[in-house]
Amino acid sequence: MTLFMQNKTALTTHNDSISWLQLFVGAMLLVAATFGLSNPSHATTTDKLVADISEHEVALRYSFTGSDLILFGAIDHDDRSISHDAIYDVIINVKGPRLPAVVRKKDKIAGIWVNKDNVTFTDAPSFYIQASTRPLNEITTEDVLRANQIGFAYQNYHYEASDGITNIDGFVKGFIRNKEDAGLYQLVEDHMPLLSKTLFRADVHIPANVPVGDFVAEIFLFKDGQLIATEQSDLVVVKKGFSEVVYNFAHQHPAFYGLMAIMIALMSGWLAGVLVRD
Amino acid sequence: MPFYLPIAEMSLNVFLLLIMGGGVGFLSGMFGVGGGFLMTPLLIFAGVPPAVAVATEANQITAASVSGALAHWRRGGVDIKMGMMLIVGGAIGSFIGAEVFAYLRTIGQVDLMIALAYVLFLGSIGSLMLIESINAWRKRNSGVVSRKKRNHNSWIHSLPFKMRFRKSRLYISALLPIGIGMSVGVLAAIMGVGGGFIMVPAMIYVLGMPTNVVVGTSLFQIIFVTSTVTFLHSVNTHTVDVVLAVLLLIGAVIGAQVGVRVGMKLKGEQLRILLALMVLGVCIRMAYGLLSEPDELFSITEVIH
Repeated sequence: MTLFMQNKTALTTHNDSISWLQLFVGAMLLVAATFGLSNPSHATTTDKLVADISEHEVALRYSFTGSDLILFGAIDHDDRSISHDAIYDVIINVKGPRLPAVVRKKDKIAGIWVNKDNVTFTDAPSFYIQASTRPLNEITTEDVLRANQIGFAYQNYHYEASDGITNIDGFVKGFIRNKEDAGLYQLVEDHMPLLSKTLFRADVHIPANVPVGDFVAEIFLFKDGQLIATEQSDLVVVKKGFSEVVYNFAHQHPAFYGLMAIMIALMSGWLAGVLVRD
Repeated sequence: MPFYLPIAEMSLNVFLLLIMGGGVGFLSGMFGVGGGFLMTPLLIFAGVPPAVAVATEANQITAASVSGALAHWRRGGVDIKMGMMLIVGGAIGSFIGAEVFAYLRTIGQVDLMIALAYVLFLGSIGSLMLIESINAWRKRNSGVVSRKKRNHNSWIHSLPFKMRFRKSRLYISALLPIGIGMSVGVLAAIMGVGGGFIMVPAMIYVLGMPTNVVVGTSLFQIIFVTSTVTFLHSVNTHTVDVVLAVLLLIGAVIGAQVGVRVGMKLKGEQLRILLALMVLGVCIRMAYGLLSEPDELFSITEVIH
């Protein structure tokens, strides 16, 4: 009887905590909706954007084959300004850490193809997924895209190059092609229809060769070609478990890593030699 | 089943790696060669960055050489003193090679150097081997038995720092094995090979070592040189992928056992012709990559930090 009572007490407490949690979450949502996570400062309407990501941490494990993320959100239409004739568009960008990258161009020298000129892009996104309800140039103007760094070609490609290299545009295009081939720049254009006037979602695949670090998901809401709201969500890509241990060991203690690699080779070679002795 | 390789920073199918290890192990067992000159290009063709392929293969060859050297050790086929001299040279050579490798990597030319080195060495050695083995095969078929006399050049005996190598029954300058070891060390560092294919002929024809200690001594040296190379590449460029090395090793150990048994059933000349053709095949594939216009002229290298 006592035991039963204790159980019941525990159960009640548990229920209580759930309801508190629900209340808390509800309050947070209310706060988010009321004050807005968006900044439609230059817009005339007060349509808002609420968005989130299915996972905020992507872990690369030793069997990592990539990870699928869902970006979802809702347009919180202002009842007074909602217009049924207006065209709403959403653009979602997921960008990886901005890392310096050297782009090299091959030229034919003495009959063989050799890396010759190179340009270093100092802060281009290492990873970039772009989803939009329509092709970018149908949504808005090039100026708006460039101002908000939306689109592969409209990033700020700060670069360092030696004198005599004039074809920077060619290097930018080469950079983008390489990234697309590696699956590190992905275009999901036309594949993200608005589920309704208010709901949208994009399915995003993070491939295995993704660089680690701080990612950001940016969501832009356009109404008749005008940017009326933006929203950001952070995402961290980390190496977890075995692969993280190996990678960090190799980079932080390279001498010990080298010795360990030698020991493993010597031991396994010796083991093989003993096992197959017949 | 894709497997994430932490240093190569890519996923490769684990079965593909086991098959590659097994295939190259089979060939190395059959022909009695290390197999690095086949494995490194294969890894590159599979998409592994050339620098990682070279450094990782050095690590794998260490393991392959240990089991081989053990077997020769048991038969007394290792000349330790000669091996030590080769190792001294090998250490110097691998240090030079690793420095060159690290420097070329920073200026974006390491892939070119690896490809050029492969085309040059595989091309010349493959052709020599093919000609030699076809001639030997012809002569055997026509019943003519010819024995080449070892001719020792006089300059070899006039070199200083003479040393007695009892096991090899030689009294020669220590500079010779040091020099041979050095060139092999350079090759190990920049090509990811053990260098047996250079060292074994050099030991026979330049040093005049008896054949029963040649392979064991060369394997003994390769253990130390590839270990040094593994260490230097780990420190300089962080390009040794232990996980990849172990996966290749598993296949290689099994493949080598099968290869040894198959190899014993085939005739020597036929084996050498096959090997020569394979070496030339890899060489042509490498040369094609250098000579044909690439689909994509641009490439990206993340800056090493």
